[in-house]
Amino acid sequence: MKLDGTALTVFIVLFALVTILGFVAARWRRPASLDTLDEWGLGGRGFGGWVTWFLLGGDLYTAYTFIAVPGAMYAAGAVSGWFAVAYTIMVWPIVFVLMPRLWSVAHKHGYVTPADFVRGRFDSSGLALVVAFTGILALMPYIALQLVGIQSVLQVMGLGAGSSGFVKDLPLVIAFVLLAAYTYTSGLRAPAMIAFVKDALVYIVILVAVIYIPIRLGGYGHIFSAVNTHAHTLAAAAKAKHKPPPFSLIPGHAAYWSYATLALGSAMALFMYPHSVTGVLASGRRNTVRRNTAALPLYTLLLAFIALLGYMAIDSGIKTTNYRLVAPLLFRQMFPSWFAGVGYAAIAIGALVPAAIMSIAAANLFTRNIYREYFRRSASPKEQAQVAKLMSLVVKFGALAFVLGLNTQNAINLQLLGGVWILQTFPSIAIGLFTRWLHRWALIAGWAVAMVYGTVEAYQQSTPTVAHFASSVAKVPLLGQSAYLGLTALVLNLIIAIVGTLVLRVVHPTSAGVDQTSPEDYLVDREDEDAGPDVAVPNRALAG
Amino acid sequence: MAKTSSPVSRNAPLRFADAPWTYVLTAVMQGAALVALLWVPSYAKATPALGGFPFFYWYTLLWLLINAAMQFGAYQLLVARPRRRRARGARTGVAL
Repeated sequence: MKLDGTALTVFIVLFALVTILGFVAARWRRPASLDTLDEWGLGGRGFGGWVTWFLLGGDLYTAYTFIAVPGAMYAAGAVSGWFAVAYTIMVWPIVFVLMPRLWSVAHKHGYVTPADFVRGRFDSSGLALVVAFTGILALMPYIALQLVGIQSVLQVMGLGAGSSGFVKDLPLVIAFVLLAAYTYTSGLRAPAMIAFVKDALVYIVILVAVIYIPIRLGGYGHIFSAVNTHAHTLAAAAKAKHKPPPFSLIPGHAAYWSYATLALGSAMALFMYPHSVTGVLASGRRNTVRRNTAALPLYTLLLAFIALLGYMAIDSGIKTTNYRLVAPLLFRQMFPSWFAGVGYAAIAIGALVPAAIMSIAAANLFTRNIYREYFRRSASPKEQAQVAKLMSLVVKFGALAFVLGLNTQNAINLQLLGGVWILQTFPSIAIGLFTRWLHRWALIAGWAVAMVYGTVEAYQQSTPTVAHFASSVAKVPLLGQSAYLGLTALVLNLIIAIVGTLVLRVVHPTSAGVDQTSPEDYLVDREDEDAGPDVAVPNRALAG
Repeated sequence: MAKTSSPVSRNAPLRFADAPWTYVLTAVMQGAALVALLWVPSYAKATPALGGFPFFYWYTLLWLLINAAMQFGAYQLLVARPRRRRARGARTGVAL
């Protein structure tokens, strides 16, 4: 693609601004030292309502939103694209119920990761290892998706065009190294601070896009009718070849189960991800997150309109078989160069923030639940912070392997694949917040079988162009309907966990371990102040 | 259920036994959007359209708004209102 000088200049200026912010963030709220996990990995555990709103938004609305969802809408329509809107609505009730309990028990016992909690609750370092391993594994394709987002933008700007090999990937590598460097020095403070810039950019770009582009195209009515025609054309072509229609404006009978399970599975998975938990635990009070669930749907509204960018691309006649380029291509076609540059920057920075938070979360998991548990029991807080910093680098390079090894065209599948894995920790974490009736060994057995089942099934999904991992929807045994693999595997997981628990209670009744938490621990709040509702903790206020 | 920390913390959460009906109500409020959106056959259709949006699309967005309102309401019922009551109780010396 042709190099666009104006757009590139705007992009570089904004990107440089954010990079400087990332390094400056180490001084934000002036901690005495960044050499502990609480400071490096949880930003001091004192974020108030506003920062938490931005941080969770930055956490959850990622390159997934800007690259994967419009791409899926463009390629396949409602079932594999619009479900993301349903899922990001359904997630808030789930957060409302689960997260305050997790916050309280983590606050009481000093847990940093979901695996810390599982270890304390079920008295099992094995189960904690399983949760930590799954968290790190599931984050890799999710971080990879962020890299794909940055890559797409660079590609549309014309960087690296014509060259090959290392030179072609050089811009991505530079962006990546900068990200790794300030995450290393500033920890969670870097993405928390950049999240403000990111959101400002995203809101400006999206507001302009959802008003300006439809006006140019003749309104939403015109867009939807163009998509309807497009769907009929594709369906007729597919019918001639005796294939199912590849695109649906409205889910048909056969897709009800897929649509519902993709939405529900993704909603249940989202807050099992370690980086989402990081965002919750970094908040200052028990109900900060709960109060936020009324305001966070604003991000969902954004997501809905961003999803429609995929339809706008269809209406404006954009033709590509590389679906991840749909949103940047639309910007290029519709916007003047300088504003397209702002749009590209919004997408790239929107990918940096979550990539940083995710790698921090994965690093916390490794340090707390693998390094300290199995290698260095006596690791000092300073040593733990150091290991976490190094691990945040390792994880990012693991993500690179996913970018190179998997098909990135159907980018939404990267996130769904992570979901297949992370959902298998739902019984230990989410159900564990309410009861420890499930036996620790049965939980491990259920997890193991579900992980193998989910991975093998996902591996076997193919399309004419992609040999493996082409889709996350598959026929459910016995049911005869297609559904999200993650949820099918979770049902299998739960059946084994329940049956296993019943058996273990009979054959080995004393093996359940000792719960380190008490029922009251799930309800505690900060007691050190009597301030108003969920504001930042005094003298740790935002401006700090 | 005697908690060691006295007086009753303003931040202590409302327990089910304190206000069962509040709990039931908030549960319904939390569950509404889940049920509505999972019941795909009820809204997988094109008409009636609104502002160019097929029914399927604007109905989903309608639930986005309803759910946001439900979240706000549930927070008020379960967290904010009990806290205000306790604050009043503390000022007037009436234990709750």
